[in-house]
Amino acid sequence: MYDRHVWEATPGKTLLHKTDVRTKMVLLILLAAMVLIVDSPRSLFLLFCLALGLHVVARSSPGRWRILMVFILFGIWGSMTSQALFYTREPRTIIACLLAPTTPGIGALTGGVYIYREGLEYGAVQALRSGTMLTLGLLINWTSDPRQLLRSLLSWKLPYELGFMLITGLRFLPVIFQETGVVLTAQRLRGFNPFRALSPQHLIQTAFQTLFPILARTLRRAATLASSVESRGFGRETPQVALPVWSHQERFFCHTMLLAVCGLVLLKIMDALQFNGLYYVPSCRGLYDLMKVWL
Amino acid sequence: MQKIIMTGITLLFICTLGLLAAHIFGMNNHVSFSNKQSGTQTGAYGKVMETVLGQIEVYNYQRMGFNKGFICFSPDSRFLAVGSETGEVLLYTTKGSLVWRKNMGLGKLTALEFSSDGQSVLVGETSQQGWLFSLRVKDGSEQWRQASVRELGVNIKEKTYPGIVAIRTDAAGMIYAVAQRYIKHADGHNEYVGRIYKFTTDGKRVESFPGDHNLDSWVSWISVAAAGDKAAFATANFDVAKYKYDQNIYCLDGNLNTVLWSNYIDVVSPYQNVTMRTSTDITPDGRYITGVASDGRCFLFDSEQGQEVWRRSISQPQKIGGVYINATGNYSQLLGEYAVFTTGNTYNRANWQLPTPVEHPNSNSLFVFDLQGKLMNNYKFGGMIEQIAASNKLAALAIGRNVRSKDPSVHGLYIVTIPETQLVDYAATSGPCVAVAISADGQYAAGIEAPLQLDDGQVIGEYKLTLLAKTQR
Repeated sequence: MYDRHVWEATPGKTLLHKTDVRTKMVLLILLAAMVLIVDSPRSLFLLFCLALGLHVVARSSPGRWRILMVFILFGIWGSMTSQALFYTREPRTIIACLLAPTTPGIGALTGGVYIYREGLEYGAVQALRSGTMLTLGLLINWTSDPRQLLRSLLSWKLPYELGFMLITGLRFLPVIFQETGVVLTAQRLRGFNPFRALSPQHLIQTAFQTLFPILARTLRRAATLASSVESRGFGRETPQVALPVWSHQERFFCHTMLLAVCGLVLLKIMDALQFNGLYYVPSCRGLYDLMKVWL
Repeated sequence: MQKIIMTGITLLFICTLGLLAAHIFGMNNHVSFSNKQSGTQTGAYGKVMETVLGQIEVYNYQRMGFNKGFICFSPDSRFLAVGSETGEVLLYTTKGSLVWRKNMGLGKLTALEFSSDGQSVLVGETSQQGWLFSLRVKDGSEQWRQASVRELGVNIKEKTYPGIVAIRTDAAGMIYAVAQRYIKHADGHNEYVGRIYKFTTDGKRVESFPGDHNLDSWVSWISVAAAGDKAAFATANFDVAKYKYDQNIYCLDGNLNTVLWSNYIDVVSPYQNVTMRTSTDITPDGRYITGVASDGRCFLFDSEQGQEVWRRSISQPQKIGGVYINATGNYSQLLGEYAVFTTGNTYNRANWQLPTPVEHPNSNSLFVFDLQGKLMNNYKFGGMIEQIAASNKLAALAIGRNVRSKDPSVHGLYIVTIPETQLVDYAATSGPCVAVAISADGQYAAGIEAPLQLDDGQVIGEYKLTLLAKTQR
């Protein structure tokens, strides 16, 4: 996990590697919009599976799959746990009681701590949203040359400084993980065992002892990078290498996806108008029925 | 070590996604029992199938209304149609196999019936258009649909929608549907809008009652003679107000053109009006009409002139400790030579949410009278009779919450003989049984159970369908 090569983009011959970076970026934005528009757990799950399927197509390495699975698992279980405990909407069904309201002191203060079924479901649905976006973001990062990414952003009139910051951030993510691995290795060689005691005080102390060296090394790298780009005339107008031609087929695909998302937005607005009793189109009952299940 | 960790993470990931998929796509527990394993008290019936219908909101004892379901057997006893609170219509064979399932989308299911030829499932819903659908038994595809919104109107902002709340058929296959819209105004008064329709088997509307205006009373039930020459309904208005259709029982001709007769029923203390929510029933030959009022009185009328043949009080309001308690009259059915009535839970007449000193002695009971008015038998169940369904000599009852004793051990599907009220069999359910059906030949019975939250917060039961079949002996 701390190997930077797992995090960095690598060349490949799959369809996703060959696809223009602009197409991938458009897909990312549109699919992110889709997961925000759609509320149906079925549709969200299918979108999530689609995102995972794209990783299969991209032939992501086992190391990358491990990173993906760890992040997604943390997301799903963390979201479900927090929502299950702190769900406030109605209706809510208690499926387990962790702390009875009759417990002296804390019971009366909290009113009891319960696990709610609807909270678990809601947390899972929210986790699918964030999981889909995370999966797609990592896919783009792992299958796209950062230079191509930067050129694409610049061709879309993003200010050079912002584009540079974004791409640098992406490039430095693997570096940070590598730095973390180096710091932890150095500490272990000195006999440091972070989980020797599980007391909160010890864990906080451990966290500071690990984070400070990482921060220090990262800041040192940032300073070096800043000197380097400044000496190369950062910010001055420089001729850019031309981007490869964006193929007609991919552009058409992006436009179709855009239309599809716009359509989804319109349907969502229709559904919201119907739900709030503002406007209902009787002839579109079939559409409303589909929306209830899939949207 | 790395491989073990990787394997562990992968397995956890796959299991998590699998559980999510199972929950989202409703791959519920579907347990089929063989005929040899009874699962009932006496073994006269055996569980053929038990399946979870989905996740629904869980209610407690304090709620007046409760979760529902709609089930009915086809006239040839080959199929079972189920309408669930989750908005789905499902068709099963009586062997327990699912033939098709259909999500009805936006509308809320409010009525379910088979056509008299058993080829269609008629589904009523409450929605912006208040549709009545006819679905083919073969594959669930839609044959036709008819809306009630044109007559009843709709207010989408206030969400007062029209709906088809009762569906009946006659021997010729004609379809009778009761449409209703209920409006609660800001000043507290209630407005009712209703219409009764008659359709042919291919969905053509031939008549409606009234013809050119709406009923202004609560009408949510209708009974039709097998010959289709008479239809009867009762009213159940909450308010004591002036209504155009203010009589308690109406009998119409089969064409819904003429009111053959209508009757007032006198009010009894401490009630201010007479409500008959789930009345009337009519004998197949159309000779007699029965009804039961919420004040606990039951009636038998001659259908020709509307003369009252007899009346009985099966749960008279009682004043105990300064508090009037009553057990509402619920259902009335005519089975051959017998009239069957049921009562519900005990309530404080002043306010149903207030406690009562005792349980009404005739609460949650079944009463069987002959057509001369003689009480043949009665049977007291421990919980609310949520629904009763009858075949020739058997009655199946869905027993739900007893809001006074709060005893969940009474919940279940009961099958008793008529008129003897002998218990044939009893399938216990954890949660209250909220719907029941029995096939015309008495060979099959089915019930829907709903989850219930107890006072300590624990949830018992599931939203589940159980299908029973008579065991071969």
